[in-house]
Amino acid sequence: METSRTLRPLSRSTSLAWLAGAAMAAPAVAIVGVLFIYPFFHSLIASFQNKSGNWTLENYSFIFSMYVRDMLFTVWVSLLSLVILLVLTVLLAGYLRLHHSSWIEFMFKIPLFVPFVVVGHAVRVFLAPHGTLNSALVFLTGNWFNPDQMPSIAFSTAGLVAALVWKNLAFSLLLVLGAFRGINNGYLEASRNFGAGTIWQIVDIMIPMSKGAIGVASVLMFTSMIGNFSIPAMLGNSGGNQVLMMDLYYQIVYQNNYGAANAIGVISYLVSMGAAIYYLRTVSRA
Amino acid sequence: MKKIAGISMVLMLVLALAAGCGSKTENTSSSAQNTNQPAPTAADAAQTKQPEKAAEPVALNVATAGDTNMAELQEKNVAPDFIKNHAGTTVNVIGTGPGDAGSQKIYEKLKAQKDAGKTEWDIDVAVVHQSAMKQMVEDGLLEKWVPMSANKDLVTSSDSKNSLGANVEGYVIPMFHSQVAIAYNPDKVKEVPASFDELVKWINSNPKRFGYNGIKNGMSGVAFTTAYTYWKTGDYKQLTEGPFTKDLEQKWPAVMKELKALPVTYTNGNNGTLDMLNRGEIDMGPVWVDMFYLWKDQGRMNPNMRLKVIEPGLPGQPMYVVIPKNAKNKDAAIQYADFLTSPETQAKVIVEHNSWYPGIDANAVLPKVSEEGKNKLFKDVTAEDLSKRGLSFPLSDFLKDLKTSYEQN
Repeated sequence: METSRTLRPLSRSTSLAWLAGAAMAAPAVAIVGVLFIYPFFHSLIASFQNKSGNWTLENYSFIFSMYVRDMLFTVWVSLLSLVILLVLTVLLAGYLRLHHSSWIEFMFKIPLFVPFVVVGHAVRVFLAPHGTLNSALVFLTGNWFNPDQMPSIAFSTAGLVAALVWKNLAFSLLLVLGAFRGINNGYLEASRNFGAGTIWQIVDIMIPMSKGAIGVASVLMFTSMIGNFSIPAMLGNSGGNQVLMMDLYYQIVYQNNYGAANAIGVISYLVSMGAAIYYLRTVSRA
Repeated sequence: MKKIAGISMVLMLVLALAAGCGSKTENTSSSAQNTNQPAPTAADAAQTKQPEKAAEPVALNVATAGDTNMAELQEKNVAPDFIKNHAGTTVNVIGTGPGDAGSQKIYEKLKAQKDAGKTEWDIDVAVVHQSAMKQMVEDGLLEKWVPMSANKDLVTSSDSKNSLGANVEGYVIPMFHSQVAIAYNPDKVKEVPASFDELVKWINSNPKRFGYNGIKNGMSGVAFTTAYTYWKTGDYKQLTEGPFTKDLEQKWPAVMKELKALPVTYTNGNNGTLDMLNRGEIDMGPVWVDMFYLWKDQGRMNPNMRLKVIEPGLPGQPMYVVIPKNAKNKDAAIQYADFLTSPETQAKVIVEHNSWYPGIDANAVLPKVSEEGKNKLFKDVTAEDLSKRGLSFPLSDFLKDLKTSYEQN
């Protein structure tokens, strides 16, 4: 009978298999629990408490009054970098899929092995008003141009975006190129027979067939940019808007205001989580 | 998160200390050389009860806040000379990290040992920032060791008595005094501003050529903002000595708006200001005097650059030598602290090697400094500048609100 079947206790072999499965998953679950879930709830709770431990919303009202522009700035910088990054990645990966060049591939994968801090420092030295780039230009053009009149790229949003894009390019290239290489040559040859050039092969064949990989790459890149600290710390503009991680660092180290720092942390979690949910909702189902 | 960071820090400290305590070397009594100590303390009493204890080698634990250079200073420049005259003593140096957070770690460690009811604390000597002093004194974590010090007559500066409004007299001897000054490029700045009035005029007629790091990226920018506020409000006395009252802060939004309306370049840190000055991207900016000279010594800074402390003055800050109340090796700790604050060490290590201003009476230190060292340190910022225009930072509550006010306006 149906009822007796559902009520029947698990047989010994099924429960053993279940235990074995649970044991295998346990370390991973524990790591997620200890490193992500616990700190998240800890931050969440602390962000609603004041110094004496009473429940309050003042941390949020404080950071919203202080840092709304920084929040928008952070999201804006991350989205702008992401768009530029995706365009570059797709074009590069598409080119490399069709015209194999291990030299170009190597060149663009170098940033994978350069730490964030170093990228930040390199960019600030390279792009500063009297930095390597401008000094070289002055030298090559025989003092024809004056670096003091050039816009300062290094210490502006443009410098920040340039550094973030360059650093993340290697990793997203790795992900997207892998997916592009998985595409059967037959599709590409067929489209070539209909006269498609490199760009159309990328747009019409490669991108639609690698939606998932591109989605994963964008969510990973976006969250990594939202949470990036080293590059803004090396390049940051302490006068204008800052990224949220700089505010978080400042609240902890200089103001000892852990409530506000936790509130900023929760906001960044939510923004990153938004990206992940968007990914689950749309990309992974496509 | 704070708790976890605190616990892991404590664990690291304990490990570091345990690693250092394990060494057993040939012993020499340290308390034997220290018969002139007045005021028998708990530790002394313990030692008289157990005379065999004096025969054990002493492993002194010196904790210092500050960047890696602070730990290196103790390890490389002070401890080796100290050990030479104190055979059998070993010195373990523990760096607790840069900024006020580093001092906070020392406070938390001592507080935890006190709360746990320990009678022997494992930090013997600590070097801390001003910000930690109020808590440390109020929580009874420190020994009033200055009266027992050989250098007690040389402790004359005002910051040896008052630390951001906290009365620290007797508990501290400043290890050094560090000063913020306006660095400038004499090739570009022909008429050097002598006051904030003139500086503001200069900034307005030379847009973007003055650089500072706001308040988020280092203390030289905070010092500049603070000095600007002192100048505009004229409230220096109450801001630095108290009492704390929110009324004074009502003037600040207007001051901050004015300051932030100036056409300046924002740099990305103490280093950033020096960097941009050196590359010629700015012509002037507030810097720490010691960092400025360090960069010059290392050949990273154009040697022509000069310094000036303008009217009505700029803040500086000391770092303090303190001894925890229940330090395990208190006699040796006092000897070490005495060595650190002696005119000889101050001259050799603090002034000549690190370009700091001495923590004790400069009159006792300067005769021991080489002509070269004196010329370097006192060429641009004279002793008179320091006594007249070397200001303090405001009380910690004021400073915190001042930074928030800067952000909000």
